[in-house]
Amino acid sequence: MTRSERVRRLVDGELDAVEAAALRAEAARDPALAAEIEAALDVVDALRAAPAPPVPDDLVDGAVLRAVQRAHAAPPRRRALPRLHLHPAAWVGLGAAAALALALWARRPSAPPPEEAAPAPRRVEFALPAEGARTVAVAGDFNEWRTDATVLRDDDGDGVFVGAAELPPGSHAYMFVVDGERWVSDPYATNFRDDGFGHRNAIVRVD
Amino acid sequence: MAVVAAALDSAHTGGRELGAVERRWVRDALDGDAAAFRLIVEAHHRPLFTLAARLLGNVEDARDVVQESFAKAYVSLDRYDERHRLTTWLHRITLNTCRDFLKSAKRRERASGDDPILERVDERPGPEEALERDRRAVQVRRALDSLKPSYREALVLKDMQELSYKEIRAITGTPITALKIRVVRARKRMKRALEAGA
Repeated sequence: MTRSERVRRLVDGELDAVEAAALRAEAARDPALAAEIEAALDVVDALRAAPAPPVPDDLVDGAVLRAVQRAHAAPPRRRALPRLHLHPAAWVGLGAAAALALALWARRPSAPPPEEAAPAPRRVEFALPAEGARTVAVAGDFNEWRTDATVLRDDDGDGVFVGAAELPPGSHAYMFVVDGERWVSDPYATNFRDDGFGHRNAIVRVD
Repeated sequence: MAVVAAALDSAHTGGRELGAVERRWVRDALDGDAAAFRLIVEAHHRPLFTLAARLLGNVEDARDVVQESFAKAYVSLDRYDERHRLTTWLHRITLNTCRDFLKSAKRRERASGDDPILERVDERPGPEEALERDRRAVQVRRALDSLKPSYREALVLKDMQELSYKEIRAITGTPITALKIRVVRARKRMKRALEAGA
């Protein structure tokens, strides 16, 4: 896991007491780590201390007025059901028909009991910061380690490639593949397994 | 980074499915009951206004955007999915309206004529304390404005509105993995911007 991610987890309260104490002890010996923690905390403190602007008194009235005006200008979105005006004898007929339908429905053959469903796959989201990369993919045991099966995208151009895959329950090993040839361990993973070829496969567990 | 996203469904409902009262408001509003819609506005306008004001840096623009967001919500209420939280849906509409506003010519016109926002609170401390707080608020505002929009959004949603990553995921549609990376980067840029403006 990257140092920045460990700092983020500390600042966001995602570390338990033991992990937080360990990171702070490490920071006591590492001025750069201490400075990174302090900088992140300074920013969060400054943002949280910024006062909330007072809500204008006319906001609610204006919102409701604008909504009603907009609705009047728009075509109707839902039609009410037409009211039925029937002769009393017709209502008796309708009631009898409804009773017959109910009796037939009650005598229908019972449906077979549902089979026990297999555990459903879960959507797993992947992300890798890789500024300057042309392509990033995820290769893992779930896609037979193919480098073209799960391609990540950087639609907003911020250098962070994201994507997702549907994985069955269990533990899955994976790595990122940058530009089709460079294999990269997930810098944010917390569990790894050596692959025997000098790489560390990250592990994601799907329950 | 890999995150199992199935748990994200709880960000929509969070075990706090749309309550019976809100469900009734929505259905009454769908039937054209403006009073029921007013109850929805009263229940949700504060966090939406704060969000807009912090993203746009201007309370007048924020009022306009929030009123517009509620108008959009009212006319598209039939598309609201009751399995999701109403607040998430309203946040999403407001965020998108803010994004549109920031791109619009209206924003450029206003920005050319106005001073940066001074966020003020109703109950103020003593003069020196208030002065220092105003100075700090302007510094934070300017630093936020110097960030690119995706970083500003990340900090406003996470550190100012104090929403969870799951909630932000539900509002923005951005994967949690990417959000966390973005927050780390945004905080670093914000730190540099604050130091540059100090």
